[in-house]
Amino acid sequence: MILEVKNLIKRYGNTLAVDNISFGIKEGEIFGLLGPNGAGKTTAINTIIGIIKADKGEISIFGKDMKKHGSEIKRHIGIVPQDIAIYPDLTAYENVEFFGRLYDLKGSLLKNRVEEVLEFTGLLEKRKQQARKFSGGMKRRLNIACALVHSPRLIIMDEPTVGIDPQSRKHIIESVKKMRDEGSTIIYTSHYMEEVEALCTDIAIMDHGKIIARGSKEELKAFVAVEDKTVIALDGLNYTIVDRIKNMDNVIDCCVEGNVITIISRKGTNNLNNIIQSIIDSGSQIISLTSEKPDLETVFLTLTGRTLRDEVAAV
Amino acid sequence: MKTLYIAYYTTLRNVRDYRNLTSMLALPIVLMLILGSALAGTFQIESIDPVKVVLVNENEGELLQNLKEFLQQENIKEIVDTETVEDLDQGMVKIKNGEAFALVHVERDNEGKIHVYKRNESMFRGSVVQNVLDSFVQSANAEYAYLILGSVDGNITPYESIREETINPDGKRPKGLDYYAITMLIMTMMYGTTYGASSMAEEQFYRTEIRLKSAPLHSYEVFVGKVAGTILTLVFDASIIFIFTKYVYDVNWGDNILFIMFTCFTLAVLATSIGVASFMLIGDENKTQALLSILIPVLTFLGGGYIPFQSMSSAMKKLSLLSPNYLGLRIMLNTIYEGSQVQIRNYMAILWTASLFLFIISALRGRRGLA
Repeated sequence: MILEVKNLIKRYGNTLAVDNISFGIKEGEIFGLLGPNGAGKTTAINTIIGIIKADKGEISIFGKDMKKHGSEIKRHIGIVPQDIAIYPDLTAYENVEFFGRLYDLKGSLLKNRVEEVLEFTGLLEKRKQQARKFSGGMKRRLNIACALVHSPRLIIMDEPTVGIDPQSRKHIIESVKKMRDEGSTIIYTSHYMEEVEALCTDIAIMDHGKIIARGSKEELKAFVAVEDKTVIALDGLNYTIVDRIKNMDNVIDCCVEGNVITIISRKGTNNLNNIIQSIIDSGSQIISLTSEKPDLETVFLTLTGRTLRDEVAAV
Repeated sequence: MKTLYIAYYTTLRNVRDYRNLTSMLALPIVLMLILGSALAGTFQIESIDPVKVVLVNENEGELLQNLKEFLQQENIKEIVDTETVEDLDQGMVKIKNGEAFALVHVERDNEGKIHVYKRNESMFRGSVVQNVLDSFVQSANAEYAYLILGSVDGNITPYESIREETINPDGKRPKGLDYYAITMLIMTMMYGTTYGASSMAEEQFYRTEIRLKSAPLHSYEVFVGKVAGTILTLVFDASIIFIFTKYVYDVNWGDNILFIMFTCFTLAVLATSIGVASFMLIGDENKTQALLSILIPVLTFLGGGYIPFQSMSSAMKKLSLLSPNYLGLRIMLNTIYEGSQVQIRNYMAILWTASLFLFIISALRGRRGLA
């Protein structure tokens, strides 16, 4: 294990931000950390890397105790914060160079690494431009470059693709895959479920400071495979229908987005006829109906009671 | 080494903030020109012939006799020409008619009180009379103290309490522009408090705090680096103003340029410490900047930045001692015009002690914050 956390607790007054979590991450894997806003993901990450002092628990990184060898361990960790953490008055080159110097890089090694990571993030041509003139996507890429300059063994990426254009997102996703292929271990948090599905081999879902589910994509999907998901698009949606469906036997949850109703029912209930009848009775017209296999979105919804899109809207 | 890099990049970022830099440099350069031209008359060289003083001789007490003897000493007569009159009214007429510049009256019923009445026309001559009488009073007080303490040596010559300092060597005296170049340079240094506050707040603002905290760095390395970067920025600002005023405005900065720059460095350290401590104690950059933007003009005013110190009332003069601008001004004037070395040393010590105190407070507050 490259990272091992045992019984980690972090309190803020009476609030338990991280509630006795334990997990381990194998070297070379991409570990996905999912959870609603306020679930404790960022607090857990900041506590693990020593930015916040833990109230209780043991953290071991690279086989060493974080409390005793914090400074040495930090040399091999790269963090891509959720907020863009760069200096706008410095050029792209200077930003990366500055953070490289903090990790004792110097001379030709520093120069080479700065150029490598700028090329890796597609910013080499813009290296002399001040960061304030960059687009949102370019700033995000520079944010990543600053975290990679010292060739970290463990990279923590906290929402690295928030609010950027599809082209930059694609570039970042490809970069993460490349880093994994080069042997880096990555902790990845994201609101975008398709990113987590595409990248992560191991996923944990956090809520209220606890890890409420953990496993591979397949394991998590199997975990909720006791449920059916039905998506119905309606014309002339009558909102009373949502309550009526929720109160039906064997319906676990029902939520609305625009004119689309998503219904989670117990597996094999066969209540589709009743649902359709209720919709017709309410005066709405069915435009389309699909019955889906569970995906991570469904897992998330089932476990936290919220959709990821709700979370994005809340950001 | 990391501290040096943090200092270097902090300076680089400050210098690249062109809008802020321009206002930091342009404001004092324009202000010193306006104030220096508008108030040039205040700095005209006056005659330093003995000042005519009327002494009211209506009291046979010991204090008046001593004062008379004091004013008749050769050294005093070189600067004060005393004429004796029999009553207060007679003396007042002479003042009103312009026959004398000041009137000294020892109260008949209360021998401890000496009143001085001066014409308002000359600050310089007024200060000569005031200083001579202050010297007399100080000597009398010292004599009294010796007697109370039972000291053997109770025989003090009042003249001994006058400290001789060279003034206006080679006829040099600050012109309006010379004076305001100093006060505006000091004002710029003190506006550097805002750099000090920003240097502590910017990591939160740019969200780079997390990078610094997750790097293998000690918090003191970041603190010292950012403080050093701010001081370097201010010394850079001071150098620009210094060079511009010396070669464009032909300002007299004296012969001891190194010491003038050391004084700028001292003020830069103080300004940074004030800014850093203010932010650490208030904890909010906007509130800190608002406070500093009010505080600096007040300190500049009290320090004689807009109106020369001599023109202030005695109450304001006492308040001036609380202004670092005043201390800086005295150090620079004493350096350029070869004034009191004692005052230079004392005021320099005060500025460094204050800086050290503020940095200690900031560091302690920072440690509490981390805890």
